[in-house]
Amino acid sequence: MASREPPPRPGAVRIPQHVVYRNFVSETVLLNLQTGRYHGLNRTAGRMLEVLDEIGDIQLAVDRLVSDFDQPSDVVRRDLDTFCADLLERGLIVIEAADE
Amino acid sequence: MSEPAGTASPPGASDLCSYAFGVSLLGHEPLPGLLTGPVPDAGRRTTVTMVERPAIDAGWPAGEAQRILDRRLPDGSQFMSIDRHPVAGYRIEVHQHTVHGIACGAHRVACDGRSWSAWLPRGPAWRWQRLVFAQILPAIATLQGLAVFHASAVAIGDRVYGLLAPSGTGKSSIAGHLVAQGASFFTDDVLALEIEGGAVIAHPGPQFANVHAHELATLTAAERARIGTPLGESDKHHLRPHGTPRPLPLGGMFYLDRVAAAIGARTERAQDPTRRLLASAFAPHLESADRLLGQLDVCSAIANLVPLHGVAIGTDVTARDVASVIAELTRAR
Repeated sequence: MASREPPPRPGAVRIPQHVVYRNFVSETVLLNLQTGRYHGLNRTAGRMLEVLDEIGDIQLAVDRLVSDFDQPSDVVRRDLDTFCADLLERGLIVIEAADE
Repeated sequence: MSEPAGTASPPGASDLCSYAFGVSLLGHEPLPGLLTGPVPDAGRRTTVTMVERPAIDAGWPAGEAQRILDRRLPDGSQFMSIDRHPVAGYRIEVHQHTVHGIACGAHRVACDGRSWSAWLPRGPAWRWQRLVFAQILPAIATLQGLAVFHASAVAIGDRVYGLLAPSGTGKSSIAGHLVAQGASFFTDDVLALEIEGGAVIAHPGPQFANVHAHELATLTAAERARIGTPLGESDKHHLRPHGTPRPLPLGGMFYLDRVAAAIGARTERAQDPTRRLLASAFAPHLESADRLLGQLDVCSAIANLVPLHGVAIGTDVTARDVASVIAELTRAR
């Protein structure tokens, strides 16, 4: 997988209305209602998505996930940035431009 | 974009007459093969009108409709087509071929599935039942908001057990053997589900079973009698099962796989259940955002609430043996 630039420093992260997700036993499934395409997330990614959806801010989400995953903040931040870049590329999240 | 001539006036409660896949069908007489009598009325109703062939095409905006399904026979000739118009609805036709004795027919279904005009050929009912039960009624159930899957199912006690498998794996035959061994027929090849009261509820299909001749030959006379009353035969034998099933909670799903390396039939952790559930949705050509979301909700509920089992079937294992394994597992629950 090609490396991606981390997303711009966010003002807010949100899941657009045409994207929905539901929890299954061992994964989370995202559905883009506009394209009809499904996307599967493992448990870790599913938890990241839940927290992002709830909190709406990447750094605040990192703060929450550090205790969930029992990992250092910089590791969680890196993983979350990569995850958000992947979701952004697939049109599954929107990252608002930060106010200057 | 007119409705075909002969559309019935809006129905009243006294017009309820037959039922399948969670939809009550109102018309001047019940269709053979469908459940009749006092039926659960969840508000999903379809008015059924029998029409002559010209009425199917009357007012149909052929030039503006989109062909969304075009099934062909191996020789390339047309077998079945479905056209859609955003106002006029769906036009479904099995063309002028008789495949295995199955007769042609043509239908118009409203966009919301609440009215259905049918041209059915003359002759024994089983000749048009197979396609109506396998295509038209599931489409109507889908359009009316039910989550519909390619699955056969039987009822054991007060629960329904679904059998999911690729075509040709033998789910109809396995379901037939389960009935022969004491289960009750619930539906063949199409399973309609919805979430109600926190549970996944299954709705019975038409009382029309299809069993291969070689499977019937393995049954005793008593077992054949348990499966149902013979109606006719095409590439399979068609039977009317006994009983009057009602909606029941889904008690389990079995994913069936023919695995060359498997010895006998064994149950195991279901492989890739999420993808297989989503891929088993009936009629992807009828997808809309609302239906996709409803399907996802039902699949999530199944995954979280209903036991899912994999059944790996060796190549030399009979449908009877698989049925015995499944029956044993349901008894253990």
